[in-house]
Amino acid sequence: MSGTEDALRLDGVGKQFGTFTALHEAWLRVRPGEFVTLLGPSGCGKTTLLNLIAGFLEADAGEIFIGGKLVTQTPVWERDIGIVFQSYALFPHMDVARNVGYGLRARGVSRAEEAARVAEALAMVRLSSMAGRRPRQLSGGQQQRVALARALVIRPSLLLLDEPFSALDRNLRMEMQFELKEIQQKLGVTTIFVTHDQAEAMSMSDRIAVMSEGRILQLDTPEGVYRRPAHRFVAGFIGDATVLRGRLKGMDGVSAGVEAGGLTFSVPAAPLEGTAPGAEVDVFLRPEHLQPAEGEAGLAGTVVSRAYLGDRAELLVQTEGAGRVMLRVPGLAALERWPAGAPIRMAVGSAEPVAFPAG
Amino acid sequence: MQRPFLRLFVTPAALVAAGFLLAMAAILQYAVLAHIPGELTPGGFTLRNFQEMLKPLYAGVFFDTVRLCFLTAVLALLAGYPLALAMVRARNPYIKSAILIISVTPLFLGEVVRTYAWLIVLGNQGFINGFLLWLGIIDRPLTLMFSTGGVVMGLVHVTLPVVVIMLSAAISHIDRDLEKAAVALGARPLRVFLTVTLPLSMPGIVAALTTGFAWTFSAFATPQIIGGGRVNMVSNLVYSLGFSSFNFPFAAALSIAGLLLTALSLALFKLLLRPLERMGAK
Repeated sequence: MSGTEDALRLDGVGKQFGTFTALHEAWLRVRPGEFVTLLGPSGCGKTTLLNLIAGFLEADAGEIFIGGKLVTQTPVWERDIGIVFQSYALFPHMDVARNVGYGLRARGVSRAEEAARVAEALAMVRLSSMAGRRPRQLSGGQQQRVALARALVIRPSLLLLDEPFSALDRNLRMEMQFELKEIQQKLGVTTIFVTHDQAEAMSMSDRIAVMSEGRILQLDTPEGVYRRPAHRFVAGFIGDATVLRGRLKGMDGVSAGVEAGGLTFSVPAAPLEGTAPGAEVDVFLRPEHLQPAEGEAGLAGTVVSRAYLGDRAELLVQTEGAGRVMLRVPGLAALERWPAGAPIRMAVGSAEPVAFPAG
Repeated sequence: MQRPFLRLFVTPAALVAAGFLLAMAAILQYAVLAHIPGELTPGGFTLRNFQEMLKPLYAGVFFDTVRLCFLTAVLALLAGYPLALAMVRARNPYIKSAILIISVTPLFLGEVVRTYAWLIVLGNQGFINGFLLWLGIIDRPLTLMFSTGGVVMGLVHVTLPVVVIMLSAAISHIDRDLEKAAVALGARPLRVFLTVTLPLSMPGIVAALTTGFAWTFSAFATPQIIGGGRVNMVSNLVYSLGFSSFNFPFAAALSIAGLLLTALSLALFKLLLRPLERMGAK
């Protein structure tokens, strides 16, 4: 039958709230052990989708399969999922060990086995010494590790992560991301991760589902959504892109030539399929798509502001007649040559941008 | 914080408090004066009034009062918890308001009006008896009036709003994610309620029990009218001694004793319920 090979499968799952469509038919197949991120701005439907998978919401349309089993009508407590909430949702009236053991007790596991598995789970998140503490006595990072241990100790078929890092400060967030990824890979647990932070999505995911206005616009590897965005929204949402208006010069089956701001870019042909030569197109330029040019060649502009990031710097440049673009340059060169107000000339960089018909 | 404003705002409350203190002082003074039968003005200093209270007739009333208050608080809690939970958790705002209005209305009815309404319900020809007779479940009216059961019913009615308000405040502070986490971990709804919702509402339950208890202690019209002299609480005793026998000193002594008993019971309550309260501590 269908669905047996997928850890999670959504067949046209949709959700309405009154007249508002929170989720249009979503189709998704997640392989066992895969880490898939639902990425999008707030209100894009990613949380609705997570709640549908978990069973906190009932789908209006479509079917949901977890581990090949149809669960569309299955109550939450029988879905065999582990969830880490944004707020961690640790039970304040139980100590760490009882928090972690909650799911095991709900499953009627024997006390001896509960104790053994809780100890194992706490060791996995390096919190064995905290078993007797109450959640409020733990730091944010420790609370999150308890939440993770609690979700994983039941050996769920699916791990759901609802923006789990947003309450942590930046350094801790990076550390927790690595730790979570390591544990996830070691256990091989299929994971659905919800976030609005594209850097998080890029660094952790096997595949990213970019969502907007209740639709999955693109489901691809981090490299795929970054380098081959299939949709204007994806191109604008992933990475810092500036849009340059240009003209399509011509294309073959694979790539197209686009002229914008006096420069000629080579872009993938697919997004421009059906566009006539000479038509207006929008080129989505990221900082690495341009590079500084020597001499009088290239696109001329003036540095508006400079963000120095150590090894590199990003310049915001006002071009002559083509709007503003971003440009990545070596950090030291930026300090020496391009303070705000300095003139600069730019040429096409080594990476290939993407263009869409003018919208 | 602007100090002058603070002083201005606190003044009315301070004046009222001072008035109450004076009244209390007057009652305390009366309590240690001798009663001269047939006279409204009391005699000299005595502690007889307090000795008198130890007589079984009076001590029994104190005991009954504590028992009734406890019973009322527990029953109001049992009736109020589901109401409060439903009110907090109802998604439909109309249902929310309806529950709120229904549960709080008794607070806004005058005590006497509310109690007379109970007469109509509980009387021999009242609604309950009429209905049960009509159904043929009973063949003669049950004695609901002038009974402890009737009084407790009336007391629960007026205590319910306070209990519901206190419980709903506590329940609305419970993070819904905790319950979602519990269901996701495989707990069925009943288990979620028993292991998460109920323990976390304990501070509210303890507050509701103590407040319900203290609230009932001062009840007057309900035991007076529904009890009809057969169910006596401390306030009824104070009334009959003070305004029927004109024994002001003894009535004053009873009032003081009632007040002390309330404070004592509440302290005891608090102590006994401490483990429960801790259960829900964050």
